[in-house]
Amino acid sequence: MDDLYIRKVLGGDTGEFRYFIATYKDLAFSVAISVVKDEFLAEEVVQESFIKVFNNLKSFKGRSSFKTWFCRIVINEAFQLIRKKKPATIPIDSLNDIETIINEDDILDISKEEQSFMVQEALKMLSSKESLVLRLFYLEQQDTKTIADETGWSDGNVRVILYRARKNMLVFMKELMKDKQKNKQYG
Amino acid sequence: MDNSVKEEKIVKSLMKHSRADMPFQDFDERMMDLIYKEERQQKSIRRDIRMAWMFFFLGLFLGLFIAGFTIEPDIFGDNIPTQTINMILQICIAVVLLFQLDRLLGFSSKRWRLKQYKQSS
Repeated sequence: MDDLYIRKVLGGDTGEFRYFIATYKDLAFSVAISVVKDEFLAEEVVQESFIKVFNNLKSFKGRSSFKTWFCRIVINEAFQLIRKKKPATIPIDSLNDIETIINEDDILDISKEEQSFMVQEALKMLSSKESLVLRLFYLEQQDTKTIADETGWSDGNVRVILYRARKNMLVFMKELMKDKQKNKQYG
Repeated sequence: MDNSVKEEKIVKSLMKHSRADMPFQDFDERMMDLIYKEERQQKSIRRDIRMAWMFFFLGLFLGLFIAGFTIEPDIFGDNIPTQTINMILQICIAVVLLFQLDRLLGFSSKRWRLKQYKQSS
């Protein structure tokens, strides 16, 4: 399907570019926000990425899938933006000092909305690399090789980041759940 | 259950709620406007470069024509030889043209390099 629309756009039918926007805007936003952690910056990244795709569509040779090529562009744009803006990072405590095991029942006890909110918050607290790898691996169901191809990191590096991301995710979820319980007690 | 397997299971379950869709409803329209604007800009740049080259060659031939054929022999009197005036004019035109050619080549090659860089990155 992508190939057909690529040919149409390259043939001069610019309006058909709408297909790529409609199909890939959510994926691009999800990837961008993992890195930049801010909705408006993520939108900026997505816009820049689509413009780059439009200008370089001719150079897409089809060696990888369009989705992989596009993801690579979004990831590059997102990391370029944070290099420029240098956002504050949240320091992570030593992983081994904190008990990370969460009782599954505790998580299942809270509502879906709360779960969703807490996951989004925890993802914001994770480093850009960690939240990006988590989203690509679990949400987009990409394997580590594809992630390595898109990010330019080695497969081993992706695995290490994924391992750390899982650990840190649970640390932050535990912290958020503690805060929630405190709020319940005092408020 | 093994600790890491349990962690994996919890994270997998949590990540089902991590979907972050584009929250801006009018994104598609605004993006298409930007794409059309980009297309116009690219066309305009290509046209400007073509025009710059066209006027450069026009200026080159016109300059050579003026310098070579239209100087009247007696316009500066007998003190300065016509050949000297011609030579001075031709040198002036050559300097201006070389200067313009350098800028035009610089601009065109910069654009070409940028295009190559974009394609490779």
